[in-house]
Amino acid sequence: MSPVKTYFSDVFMGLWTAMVGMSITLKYLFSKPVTEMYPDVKPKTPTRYRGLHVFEEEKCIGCYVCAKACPVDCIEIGVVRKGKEIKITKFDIDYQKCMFCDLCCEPCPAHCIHMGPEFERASFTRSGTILQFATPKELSEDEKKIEKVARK
Amino acid sequence: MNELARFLPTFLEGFNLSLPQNLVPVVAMFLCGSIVAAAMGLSAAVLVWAERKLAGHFQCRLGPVYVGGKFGWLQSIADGIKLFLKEDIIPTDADRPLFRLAPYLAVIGVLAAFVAFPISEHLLVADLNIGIFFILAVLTVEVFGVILAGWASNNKWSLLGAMRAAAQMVSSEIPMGLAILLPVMTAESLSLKTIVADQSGGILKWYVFQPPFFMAVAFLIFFVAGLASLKRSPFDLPEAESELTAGFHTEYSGMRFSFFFMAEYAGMLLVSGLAALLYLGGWHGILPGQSGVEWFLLKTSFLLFVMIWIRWTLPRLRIDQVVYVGWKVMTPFALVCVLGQAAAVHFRGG
Amino acid sequence: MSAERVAFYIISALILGGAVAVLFSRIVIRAVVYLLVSLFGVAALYILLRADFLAAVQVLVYIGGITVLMVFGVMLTGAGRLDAPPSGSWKAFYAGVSSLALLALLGIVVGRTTWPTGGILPEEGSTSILGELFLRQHVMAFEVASVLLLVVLVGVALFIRLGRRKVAV
Ligand code: SF4
Ligand code: SF4
Repeated sequence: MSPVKTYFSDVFMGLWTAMVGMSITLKYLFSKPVTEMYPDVKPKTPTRYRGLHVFEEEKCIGCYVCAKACPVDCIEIGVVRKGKEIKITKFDIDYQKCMFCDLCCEPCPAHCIHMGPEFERASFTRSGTILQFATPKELSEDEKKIEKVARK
Repeated sequence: MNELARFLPTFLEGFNLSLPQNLVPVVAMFLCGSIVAAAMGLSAAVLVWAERKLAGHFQCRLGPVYVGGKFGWLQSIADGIKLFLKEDIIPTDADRPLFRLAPYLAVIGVLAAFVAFPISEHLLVADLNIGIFFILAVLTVEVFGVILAGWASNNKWSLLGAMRAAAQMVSSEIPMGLAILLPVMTAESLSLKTIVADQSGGILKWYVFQPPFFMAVAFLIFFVAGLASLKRSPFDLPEAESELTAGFHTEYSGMRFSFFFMAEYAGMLLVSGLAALLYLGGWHGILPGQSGVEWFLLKTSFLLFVMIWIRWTLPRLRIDQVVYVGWKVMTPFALVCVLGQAAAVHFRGG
Repeated sequence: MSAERVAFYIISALILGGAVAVLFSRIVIRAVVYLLVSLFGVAALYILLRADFLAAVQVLVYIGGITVLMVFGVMLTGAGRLDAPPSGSWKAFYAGVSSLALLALLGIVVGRTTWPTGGILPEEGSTSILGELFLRQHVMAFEVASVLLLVVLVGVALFIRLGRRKVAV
């Protein structure tokens, strides 16, 4: 192209491409915003979302399978076993370590630990991030003796 | 009601304030100034909000939503309060007096320009004979303020920003002046009121739609050069956040920063308003006989919208590109337009 | 004293004060700012004389053009501070002599000219009168000045081009 032609086509293209760009942004102007109004409106998490665990204490048999499966060893379980009676005295998950991998839930023979929909558990202290799922229980002296606490 | 500058002295005399005769014009002058400043501050506040809101939606976001109810319409007031409360920092190695002077120069330049800026046939401060020329002249003071700010900050980023501002201003001022020449030639007056009066009688009488359409090109040139002189995107090199931190106002904080901010937004209003007055028929409506301040506001807000739209669309140019556009594209095109329109005016006049 | 007279004295004081401050300022940029004050004063004087067009030109050309260029020059060269002038050198002597000569020359011109006063101030602005004078009566001088400026512009561009080529070679 001759320089004159290049010059005029450059000027034209400059204007034209600006116009094309502006038509694209105009489309965005009228499209629905993608913003989530998070603290005001809680987002609905998907069904298979891997959030904080949900633990069904009454079903748990204290078998430590989940703790063993956990790659980062963040589940700590305390059990008192007296014959058929099983008392879960401790079921702590350390969410500083947990990576929400779901590996603990799959092998559970009693299907009592699941990944839940919740995700808001920020804390200002380290201890605050360790969640205690087991309901606190009064233990007698005997029970204290046979309580087994392990992280595996 | 007539021009503010004429109306206020008589208005004041009506109060029997027992002011000395000589003081009445002075008081009126101060009142005029404060009215202009207040109007400017208010419109800047609205504009800042509109800019943020639109910026959000242009990017599929929401923009401000919390302050003042649903649409965040008090956002700029919150911003203003924040700026008021900020600490005013002057760097140790800055040139203190100049550092302090610069923001005032920037704001005064724009403020003074509004004196000759008519909003409707009856709503203006003063109808100067040299209206548009006066505005062009005082606007340069703003640029001087910017350059001074960059120099006085004693900071490399600021200095670079200021140099860019100077180079950019020199290359945008000339096409802008040439583009303004066309309406001036056609209306045979420098007074904005006369220029608008010449465009009365429906949309076809607006200067942009006047055959042989030299003025349509001039309108485009004026608008683009206006963007450049305002340092608005895509010509926001003097600030260029990603390269120069904040460019010429890197070292400014609090109120002094807000002066630059206000000058920019008031400048936007000025350029859009001028484009509406010079090329889009000012306060005349689409149909013949329609006229009123609402038309002017409508056109100005549309142009402001376009400015915001451009800002959130186009990426920043390089400084050599800006200078190229100014000197090698807009100036020759504007010159051709001036010659063409001169010929058109000449032959129309017979 | 009429208000106009008061304004005249204030403005004149500004102009002279600004000019003197330019001379005594060691920091170049501050000198430019003082010059700005002085030039603004001149614009204000023009307004006082009802020469509104001239006042706008003064602001546009001197403040928007010249001072901006000066600041630009200072920024590019980094000439922040001026050293104290060498006292007792021949340079100072020559400078003094030439300044005095210029002062004398200006004084003679001012003294010899009869300044027309008491004319009627134009009520309707001076723009159209100026235009008429420039493009009808003095069109020759006007055009010569324009051509001169154009020649300067082209010449500068040429010089820069040539210089650049030398660097490239
Ligand atoms: S989700 Fe993964 S990391 Fe978290 S507790 Fe279960 S196995 Fe351990
Ligand atoms: S695997 Fe299931 S049943 Fe076994 S301890 Fe873990 S949660 Fe309880």
